[in-house]
Amino acid sequence: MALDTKHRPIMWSTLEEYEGAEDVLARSGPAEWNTKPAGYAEDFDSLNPAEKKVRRRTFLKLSGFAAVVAAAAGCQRPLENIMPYVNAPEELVPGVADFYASSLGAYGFIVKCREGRPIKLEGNPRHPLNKGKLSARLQASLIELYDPDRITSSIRKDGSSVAWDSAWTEISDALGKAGSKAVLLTPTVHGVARTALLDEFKKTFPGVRHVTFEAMSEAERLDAREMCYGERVQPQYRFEKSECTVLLGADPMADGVASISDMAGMADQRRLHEVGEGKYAMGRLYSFEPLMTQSGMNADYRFSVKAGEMLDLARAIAARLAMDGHSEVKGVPSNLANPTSIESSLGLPDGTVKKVADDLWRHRGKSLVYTGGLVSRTEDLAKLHATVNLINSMLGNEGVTIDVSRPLNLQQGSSEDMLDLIDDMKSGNVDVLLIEGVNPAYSLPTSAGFADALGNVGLSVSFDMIKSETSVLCDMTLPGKHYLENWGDHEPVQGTLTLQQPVMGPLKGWHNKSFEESLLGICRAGGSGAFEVEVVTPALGEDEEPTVSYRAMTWHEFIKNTWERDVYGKGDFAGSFQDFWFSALRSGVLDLPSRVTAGSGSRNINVDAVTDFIRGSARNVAGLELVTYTMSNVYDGRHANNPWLLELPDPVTRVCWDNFVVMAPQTARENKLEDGDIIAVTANDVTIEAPVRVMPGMHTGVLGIGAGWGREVAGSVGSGEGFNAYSAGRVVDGNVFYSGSECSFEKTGGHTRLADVQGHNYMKLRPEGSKREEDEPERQIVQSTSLELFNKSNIAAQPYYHVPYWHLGQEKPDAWKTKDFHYTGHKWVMSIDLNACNGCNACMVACQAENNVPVVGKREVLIGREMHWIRIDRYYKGDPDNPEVVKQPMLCQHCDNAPCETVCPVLATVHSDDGINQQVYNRCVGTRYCANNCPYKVRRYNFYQYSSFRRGPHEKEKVPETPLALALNPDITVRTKGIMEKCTFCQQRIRDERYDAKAKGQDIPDGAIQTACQQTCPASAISFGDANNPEHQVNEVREHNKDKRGYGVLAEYNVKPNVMYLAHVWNRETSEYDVDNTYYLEHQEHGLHGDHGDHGGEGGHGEGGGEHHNDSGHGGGHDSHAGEDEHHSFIPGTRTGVKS
Amino acid sequence: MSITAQAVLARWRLFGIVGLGVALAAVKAWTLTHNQGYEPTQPIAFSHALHAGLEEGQLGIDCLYCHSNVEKSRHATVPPVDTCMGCHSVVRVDRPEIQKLTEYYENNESVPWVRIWSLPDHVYFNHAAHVAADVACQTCHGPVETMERVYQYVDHTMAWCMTCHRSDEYIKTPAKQHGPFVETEEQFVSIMEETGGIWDEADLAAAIDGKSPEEMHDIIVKALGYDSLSRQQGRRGVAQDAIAALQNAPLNCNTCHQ
Repeated sequence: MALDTKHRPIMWSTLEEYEGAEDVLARSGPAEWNTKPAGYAEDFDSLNPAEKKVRRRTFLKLSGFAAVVAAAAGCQRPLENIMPYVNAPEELVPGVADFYASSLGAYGFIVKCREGRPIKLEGNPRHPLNKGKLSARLQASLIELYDPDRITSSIRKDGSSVAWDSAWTEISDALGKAGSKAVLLTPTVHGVARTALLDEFKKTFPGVRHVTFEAMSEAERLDAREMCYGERVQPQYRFEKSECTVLLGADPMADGVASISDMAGMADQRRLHEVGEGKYAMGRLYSFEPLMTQSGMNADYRFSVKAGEMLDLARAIAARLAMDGHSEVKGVPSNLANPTSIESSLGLPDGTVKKVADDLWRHRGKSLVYTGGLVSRTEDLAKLHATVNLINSMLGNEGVTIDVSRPLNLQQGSSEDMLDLIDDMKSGNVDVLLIEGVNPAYSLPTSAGFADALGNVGLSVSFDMIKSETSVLCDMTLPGKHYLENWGDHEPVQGTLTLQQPVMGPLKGWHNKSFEESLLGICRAGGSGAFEVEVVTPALGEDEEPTVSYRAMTWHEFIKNTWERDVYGKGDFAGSFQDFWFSALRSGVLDLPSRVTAGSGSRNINVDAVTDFIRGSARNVAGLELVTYTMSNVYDGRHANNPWLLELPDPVTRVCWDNFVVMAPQTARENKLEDGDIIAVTANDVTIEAPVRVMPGMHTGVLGIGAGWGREVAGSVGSGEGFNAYSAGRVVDGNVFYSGSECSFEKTGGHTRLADVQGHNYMKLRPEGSKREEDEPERQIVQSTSLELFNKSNIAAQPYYHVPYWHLGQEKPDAWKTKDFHYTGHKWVMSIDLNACNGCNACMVACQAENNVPVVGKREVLIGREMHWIRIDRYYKGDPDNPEVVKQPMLCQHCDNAPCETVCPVLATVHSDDGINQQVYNRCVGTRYCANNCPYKVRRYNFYQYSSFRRGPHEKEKVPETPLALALNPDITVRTKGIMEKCTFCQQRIRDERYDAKAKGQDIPDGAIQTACQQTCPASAISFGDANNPEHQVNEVREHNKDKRGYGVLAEYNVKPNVMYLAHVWNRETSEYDVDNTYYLEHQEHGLHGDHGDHGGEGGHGEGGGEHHNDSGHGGGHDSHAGEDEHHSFIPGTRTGVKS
Repeated sequence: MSITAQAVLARWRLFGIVGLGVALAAVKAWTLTHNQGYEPTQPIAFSHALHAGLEEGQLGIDCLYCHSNVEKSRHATVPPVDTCMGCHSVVRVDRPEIQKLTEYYENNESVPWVRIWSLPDHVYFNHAAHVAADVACQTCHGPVETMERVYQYVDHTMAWCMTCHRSDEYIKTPAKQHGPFVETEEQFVSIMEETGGIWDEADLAAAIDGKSPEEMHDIIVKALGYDSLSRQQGRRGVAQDAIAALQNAPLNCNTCHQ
């Protein structure tokens, strides 16, 4: 698509905006709140007018009556009880949070508990993989603990209950009879005690076969490593050391084995660092991918390549390196491929391969080529991994950016083993099947035939906590526990042991037993004496003998015993075991390098074997290629019943509550399809009917489907949402492949609406805040430039010099007469580095958990009523066929001149003396004037009692008071209908630290207050602190960047936002879309490099800035300014605290 | 533009109903905080006067003995049943009220005390912060040590909170707002006697000669061995430094509305 830059916006957030659709234009400006928001539900419009009128009147009448009745009944004060503990638990103080270290699989947590119930998860800083950070999925896993859909007692297939003991005996008997026809199916098991338990289990029932299965299999990576280096280990990828990273059809941010660690590493390289006077450097990221992935949208260079062409491309890079003699290993033949012809057949620009190869070679030893994951899961994947290994070895990256000194123990399962198992099941070779933690009935292609095969199994047992596609087929379900209720241990990295401790006992009436407890029970029923504890009752009289009885060993005792024997006993630890145990529990992580077993492999690649292996034709389908990709919110489908994650917009498409078929704009145009049109996609004899989502930046020959949705049996929230992308996978030669299938589609004529939030909260196309000079660049909401331009002028953003928000002293016409207010105490400010932010959404869920943000449901999202206090806006830049993406987290900017405050008729939103824009819920009467006047559109209104509904007010089901309400943060008001709310800078965290500092009589130290979004951000993109405390690191960031990359969004309105964004800098050549900001250097030498002072300081900006724009008005964008004089009278009252 | 009289009537009726509803809802909200004198019957006739009172025959147990979390938490907390049983497994076990208590304990049941002091859910209040600022328990809860059955001493309205948090008003009226304060010689003498005759009469006369109530108050503080009056002794007053602390009491909305 040719771009007409004169009429097309440089930055655009939706395709409609790019094409100048009228409804988008109408949505902003004065008519904004009078017009229907984008996606206003048509069914409401379709009601006949008379009916609608009646509805409104009826509503008023009914609500009036309801209020009368309720109030009349309630004139007496309601009786409320205080129920103290009978025996208070040790150390528990009601009202004070306790923090416990725990872990799950790859990551470690600190769990915040109030009154004995977990309410928030944070990363454990001691954990080597997540280093204190958490992803959106892990943040949200908290509410799965309180899911009312959980199965709470052991049941048979028909729903009848069965006692735990008799179930265990039954299973044990069946296992005894089955002999070698018994199988235990689990995901990868690691951890000292958990492995020991499985060993004991196999000892008790020697015939049992253990099959490991992962929906997101990494077997090909392991196979390739074994072939290349002679050792089957999962390496740790050191993205933080790679100055030049090339992704080949991979999305490590969404489905990397250690995605949090990958995100952190990539962010480290994305950050600018100064390398000399005014010169900056950063890493470079290339991505070759069939569709826009989360990792790919962060790439400096993106190229569209089909999944089936990825192997050709990898071979071309290897060949190019070999042809140029750029190799640190000998013997790589240069005839592996013909780079030039491959380049042209792939449709890549001439010289692309050469450029990438040269760049990699320039950074040899400090670069990384990475592949794997769902997108590249074709028959070529093993070869692709081998080729990538070869390239990395040629570049000398092996052992540097690919670290096998401490390999990962994660995702060791393979689909091949799973398919073998299905064959055995079909042929009647499996009598007993125990399934824990995996859902093969959902996460395998239909053609694998798991469901049918399960019918052949004599006794199948599921340990699922919530009903799943697999568990409903099993003869018995012994519901396991949530990981926050269970003991456990893990060893995600060789030599890194983590402990998982329960932070909550079972809720009343919930009789779950963990999988491990069940295994112990089954073993004991099978006659294993290893799990019994002797109980000696002392003799009563002198003549009597003490009585000895036996009881079952608990899982807790088993872990402790195993650790005493295998960890404490084999190490050299000071102190008693009890001391050791408590200190391990407290820290949650134990580093024991002596446990590392890796190291048998060679760092030298087996060149001959590899080059032989990777030859042969690549699988490239002629027609449309179907690519399955990971949607990072739901991952492999395990989180399908989690309303927080379902309502979380997808990082790339910003659509929630659905998955869809993504296609390129060109494909859509040619077929006259638009967002929401339902098409039927056929691949591998499976037909999927799903809505279309047009995705800029996609390969035209590819359709993409997101995995993890379409759970038929997931629970009351997730069942039946979206479609199952796994079902269209194919089984070839005993393995499963999800990408690279040939597919076709046809229109069905149907249409649905996708809950796309990007068009909501529209900030653009407002009247400009001040007059723009003729040659001044167009102002942008989000700012980005190239590294080249930035190094030239050191200015990456339009500084809005006429009202730069750090120039508080500057004389300027001002709608807010508050200049006499000086923030002499604390002054809270934030800074967000757009280079580091990758759009992963972790902040959104962390905020939701911390601040009791409700879920509103798809229908409400469709009419623009989502409640997230922080959102991540996604902007495209340039050509829709291959645009760049800039993400801009948007939250309340806590403007010094907050426009919301001047229009509130009841003073429900006012400023605090520490610079926070406060929202007082009990004062709010719901006029929504504030939201109307907020240029950032960050205020959220409760149209319904959202907190009472699990997935929106249009569903019949109400949230049961227990257990879901237990997940609420008791320090935060649960907002009711008719109330405006918004980000508070986590005022409860500020308050806690203020009390703490006051009690200790000291200043609040840097880092003591971390907002929930900042705390969890895997990329550490957010800084927060006190502008008046020079010790706080946020000031360094702001001071260093204020005239370089720092900008305030819409700062030209003179609202003085307190969030400084650091403009996005791309490490690529300057493009026609990059704005050259040297204009500001030439025109504003006074304002730009003068002494800016801090907040409240005196001017010192020369008069140039003032004079220059004295005629420029003051933010004519707000209607509210019409009544400016009236508002002035309000303003002194809106400020609380002592004026100086 | 023509609206018939009937339609006008209908409209007014509609607004009337809505208005009445709103008014009654406001009344209901009012009853949540305006409850001065609320004195519900408790499941066990526990006497604060007997346990905490300082008169003869009363036990004078420190408030913090039972409400032990008040210095650590936003909640003062009602003690767990086993705290009661710490004494009452041996003390007065023959009394019917104690037998009720024992029954609760043996059945592993909580005692369903009826809540008296209640704040709306949108208010965040922190006991620990106030105790740390040397605000006496009685300042808000009244002379609990004299109550046979506890009742609500004042209305917990926001306006009432602001009497302290608007610090200048606070300083003007300490005695009025903060419960009994040492103002007269008689009060001073009675306190001195209670504390066990630390000084003889001559010292006493010398000590109080020509002193203002505030100075007398300070003398008591020192006599009792405290830097400032707080906890149980704080029942009789607030030390001067507490007033200073309250001058800095936060005034931001979000201190209490979070």
